[in-house]
Amino acid sequence: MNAIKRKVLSKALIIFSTTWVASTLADLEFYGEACIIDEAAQLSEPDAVIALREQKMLKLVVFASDEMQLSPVLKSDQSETNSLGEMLTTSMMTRLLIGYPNITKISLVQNYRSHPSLVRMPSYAFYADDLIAARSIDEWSTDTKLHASIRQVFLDKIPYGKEHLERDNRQLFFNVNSLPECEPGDTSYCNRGGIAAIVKFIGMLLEAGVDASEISVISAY
Amino acid sequence: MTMDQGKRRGLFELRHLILEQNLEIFSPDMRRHINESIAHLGKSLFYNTELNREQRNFLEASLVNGAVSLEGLPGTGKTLTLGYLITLLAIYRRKVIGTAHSSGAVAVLTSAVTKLVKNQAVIHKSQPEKARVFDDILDGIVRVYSPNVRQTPSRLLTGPTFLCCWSMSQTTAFHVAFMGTSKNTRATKTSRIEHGPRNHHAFSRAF
Repeated sequence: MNAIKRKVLSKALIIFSTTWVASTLADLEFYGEACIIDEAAQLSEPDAVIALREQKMLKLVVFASDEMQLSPVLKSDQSETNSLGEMLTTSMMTRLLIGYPNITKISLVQNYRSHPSLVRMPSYAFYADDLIAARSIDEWSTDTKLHASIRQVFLDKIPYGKEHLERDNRQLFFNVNSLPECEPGDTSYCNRGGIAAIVKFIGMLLEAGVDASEISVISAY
Repeated sequence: MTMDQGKRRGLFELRHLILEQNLEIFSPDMRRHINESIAHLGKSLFYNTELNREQRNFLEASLVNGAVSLEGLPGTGKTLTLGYLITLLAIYRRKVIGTAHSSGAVAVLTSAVTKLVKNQAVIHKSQPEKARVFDDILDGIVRVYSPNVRQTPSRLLTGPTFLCCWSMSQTTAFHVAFMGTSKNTRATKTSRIEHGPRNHHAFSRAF
C-alpha cells in the first residue's frame, strides 16, 4: 500500500490534506517546498507542528486565518481546570503572533461576498467596523418587482416596520419564544416553535414568488 | 519559525523570475529550462486584475519571507489568494502542501485551486505551450485522505477499500480504481479511464 502511495506522491506537485495526514507525507518521501495552512485559527500548536514535521525542503510557510472564527475545539471534561486545556484551545495563530510578533502579517478587510447591509452587522458586532464592503449597493441587482411582492406579503403577515423592509436592507431578525424540548443532559434537539416559524416563512417566500431552489435553511446542529 | 539564509535562496529566485523576470541570475542550463513564456505566465497571474492591492502585497511578501501570516475577515478572499499563491508556485514546479485542520476546509482550498488552474488553462487555450503548463499542474494535484474511513467521501467507501490518494485530474483517476477494492469504486471510476488515449499514456508514464 505504501509503495503505491509513494508512486502517486512522486508524481504529485500539489498535495492537499488535513494536518494530521500531512504529518505522514515525509515518511512517504514527499518533501514540499511550501506549506500553506488554511483556517490556521482552528489549529492548536501541536496540530500545526505535526504538519511541518520532517519537511526538510520547506522554504515558505503561510498561515491564513481569521481569529474571530472558530478556535480549536478540545473535547475533554478537564479542559476547564487543567492548565493544558488553555494551551490547547489557544490557536496556533494567536501563539504565533505572541511568540513571533515579527512575522510578516497581511490583513485583508474588503468583503467581496456580501451585500453591504449584510456586512454592516458582523462588522459592527465583531470587527470594530473594520470590515468594508468592497462592492457597492449598485452592483447588487435587485429585482424590484419581486422585492415589492415580498414586502407586501411580509407587511401583511408579520408586524415588521416599513423601514425594515426597504430594498437595501437584506436581513431581518425574528425571535421565536418557544421552549426547546430537551433530552436528559441539557442538549436541545428539537424546537417545534422554531420549525413552525420557519415553515411559515418559507410559505410566505413561495407565496411572494421566490423560486424554491433559491431558498436555503441552515441550522447550527 | 525562522528560515536560514540558504533556504531563502529558492524564494529569491522565484521573486526574480516572477516580479522582475530577471533570468540573469540563473545558470545557462537553468535559463534554457525556464522558457521565457513561462516566466511571463507567472507575471500575468501575479498582476491579475482580480486581486486587490493587499492580496498582491501578500503574494509579494510570500516570495521574500520564510513565514507569512494572512489575516482575513470573512469573505475577503483568503482562500482565493492562497489559491493564487499555490498556482504561482506550481507554475515553477515547486512542490506545495496545502493543509487545514478539518477535511471540509481542505476541500474548499482544493476546489479553489482546481477551479483557478482550470480557468487559466481555458484562458490560455489558444497557446498550447502555456495551456500545457496548467494541464501539467492539474495532473499534479493530489488530495490525500486519512486512512480513517470516516473522513473519506462516502461514495468511495462501499466495501473494504484502502483508498488513500485521490487525484483531481482525469489522467490520474486510474490511481483510484487501482487502489479501491470495492465494486462501487471500480464501476464509477474505471469507466472514466476507458475514455481517451491520454489516460493510457499517463498509466504507462506513472507505472
